[in-house]
Amino acid sequence: MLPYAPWVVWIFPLVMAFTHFIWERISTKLRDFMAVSTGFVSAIFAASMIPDVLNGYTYVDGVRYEIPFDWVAIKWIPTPGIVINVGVIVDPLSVFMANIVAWISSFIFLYSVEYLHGDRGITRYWMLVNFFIGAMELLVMADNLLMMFFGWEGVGLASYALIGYWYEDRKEYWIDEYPPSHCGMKAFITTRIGDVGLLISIVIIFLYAGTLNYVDLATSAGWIASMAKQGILLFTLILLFLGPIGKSAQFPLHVWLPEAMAGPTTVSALIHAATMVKAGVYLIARLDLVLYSANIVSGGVAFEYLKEFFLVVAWIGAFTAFLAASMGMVANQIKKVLAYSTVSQLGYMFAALGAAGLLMEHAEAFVDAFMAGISHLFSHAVFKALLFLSAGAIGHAIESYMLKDMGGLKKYMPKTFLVMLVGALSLSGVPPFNGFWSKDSILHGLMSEGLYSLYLVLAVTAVITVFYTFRMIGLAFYGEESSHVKHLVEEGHKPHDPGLYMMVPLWILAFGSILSGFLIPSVSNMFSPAFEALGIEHEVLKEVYLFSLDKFVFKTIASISMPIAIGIIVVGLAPAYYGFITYKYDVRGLVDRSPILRALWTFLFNRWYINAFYYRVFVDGVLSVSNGVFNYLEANGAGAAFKDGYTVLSNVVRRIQTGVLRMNMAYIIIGILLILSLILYAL
Amino acid sequence: MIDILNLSIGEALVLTSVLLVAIGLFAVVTRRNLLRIVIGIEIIATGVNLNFIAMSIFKHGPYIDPTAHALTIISIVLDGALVGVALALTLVVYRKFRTLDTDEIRRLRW
Repeated sequence: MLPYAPWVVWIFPLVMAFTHFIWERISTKLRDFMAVSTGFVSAIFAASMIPDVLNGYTYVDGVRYEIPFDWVAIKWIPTPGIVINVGVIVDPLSVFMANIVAWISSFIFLYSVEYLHGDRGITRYWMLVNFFIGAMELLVMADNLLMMFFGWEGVGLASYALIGYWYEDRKEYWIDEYPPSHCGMKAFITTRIGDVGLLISIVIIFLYAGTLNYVDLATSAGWIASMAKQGILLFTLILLFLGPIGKSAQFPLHVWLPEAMAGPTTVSALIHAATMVKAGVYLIARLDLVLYSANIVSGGVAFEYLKEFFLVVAWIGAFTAFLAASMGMVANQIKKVLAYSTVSQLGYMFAALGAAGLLMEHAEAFVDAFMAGISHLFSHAVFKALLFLSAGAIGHAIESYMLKDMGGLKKYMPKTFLVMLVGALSLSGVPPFNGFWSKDSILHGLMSEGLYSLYLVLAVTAVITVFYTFRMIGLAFYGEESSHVKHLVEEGHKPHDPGLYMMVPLWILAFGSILSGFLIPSVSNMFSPAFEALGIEHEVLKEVYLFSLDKFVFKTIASISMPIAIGIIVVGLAPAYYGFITYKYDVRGLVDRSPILRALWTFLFNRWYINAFYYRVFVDGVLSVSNGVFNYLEANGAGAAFKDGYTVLSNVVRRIQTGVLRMNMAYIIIGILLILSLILYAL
Repeated sequence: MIDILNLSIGEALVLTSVLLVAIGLFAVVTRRNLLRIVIGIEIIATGVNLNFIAMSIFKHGPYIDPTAHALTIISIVLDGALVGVALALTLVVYRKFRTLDTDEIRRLRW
């Protein structure tokens, strides 16, 4: 690795974030250059750690260390009994995440240069996104839960500020009835609910384990056994899971992500699709590894609780996948479709990682499900960034994200259409795009391990995914031109493909979506040091089909899941194709005519009424309580009585005052002197 | 003057601080202008700070006690905040009553 790479990768962006206002004074070009190159420098440092992980060892100052390598810099809280260090962990999971974050964000920075050109707050934008990657890299590189939590809160802050980036709340940036500043606040408050749970569980774990270091937690079994004996293990782990639920927008805290689309599209792509929402997935993956080891060391005494916990994780994931996909079918805004699909795909990852935890007793099945989740994280980061950036290109061209303002854009924006189609095919899981390989490995893993109910939910979700993806493509690029597009053409603002800065990242990501499916075995091999550190033999790993390219390709194609995958695509594509691409069937008329479909449409469009329920209970509830307190305690009642009583009292007391300040002062001094002399006399 | 009175430097500092506090108290008690009173309070604060420094000299041992110096620095910073608030209040009083004479501002007496 490059010198100090695990440190530079997060410290450098954090420092650079606060220098952009200086570069701006010199030249805006220089500022853009510095911000983009910060991303690429961080990415190069992140990439330089890959060879060490592949080798399974690394050299620091000429000394050889095995992977996972826990590099402690200083003792952060060195009180006896409480030792928390500032350190980084170099292991496959952290290096993998660091690379995803750094590379995807670098391409998105490049795209932002053109996308946000001429915006007023662009220095603030660069500061916040650079701060974001710094915090995110800190989150993934940290070697203990507390340091991780700092990064966790940092990305939450950056997310809040970037959702509300257009804080003037101009009407064109509203998401339905919510202005951007409101959306940012909503995201911040919703994720904070989960973070409180996470923080409480960190404290509980610390009370039992006396350490927060991942490696120490994995190798010491005492904490897990004593927590299981006192019956709070499940409770603590579920509190911990609240953090990922909030950050990764899983049910019941999924409501913030659709509104998070109020920010610039680059932010939606970077933070709310490709990287930040993966923080929760990362934490669960980390927990998988830690608990796998702790379970073995403790002799399996707590396995039943762990099993229950991972069952909760898997089912929350699977349910969220279905919930969000069903909402995506009727969304009216291109970015909202993508937001729902992000929530849905994150559900897949949670289902896979939860299943990995469930199958902890069988090393091979554990590795299989774990790698399936990780590979879906990998391909989702690529194709969802691509989809969002193409949606941004459309929005850039027609200045609207409403699907009703699009239609017939294919002939105006052929290049954008092409890259977006690649993303859509990938999202729907069409071979040979990367989404197919990773989604299939999740479904295949669930089926072969006999988790049929999870499998069924996710397979149905996959059908819905194909439908809403091609509905979106059809509404945007096919059919008749909307009045908005016609209006633009008449005015001479013909929609057109974006320029070089925006196209290059799109081409690169499209290329990645096509090919990166074949990188999944390499990613799996990169993870083998982590599994070997857990005590899983190399021979066992070789048996898992995800670890060699030929086995991976042939087993996927030859297995039973291949015809099922094709069936899923056909069932999902057919209605979307005839309804929204060729317009042979009038879907809108069908929905209007049938009362049942109409009711279902309303139910889905109102997001199962979950959002409305939260607003009614929490927002209106708090407001009515505080209004009640104000009206009956402050303005009238106790508050008023207090005020009146005080006025009466002070009118009595002020009669003994002379009001001469100098006399009062003199009395005070005399009093002090008297007291002092008394004290001195007593001494 | 130290030579004439035959004082050590610590004693001289204590004496000075006592003088400063006394001057300040005198100003606070005798002046009617609010601004002068604020200045008097600042003089008292300076005397107290100086007293801290002076006392640190009397500590037995190889070094002067650094705690007093640290406290004094904090105290000076707080003085800055205090004088800010006091001047702001003075300004408000002036805007409200168009005078700074404390005998004119006798709202405490009904």
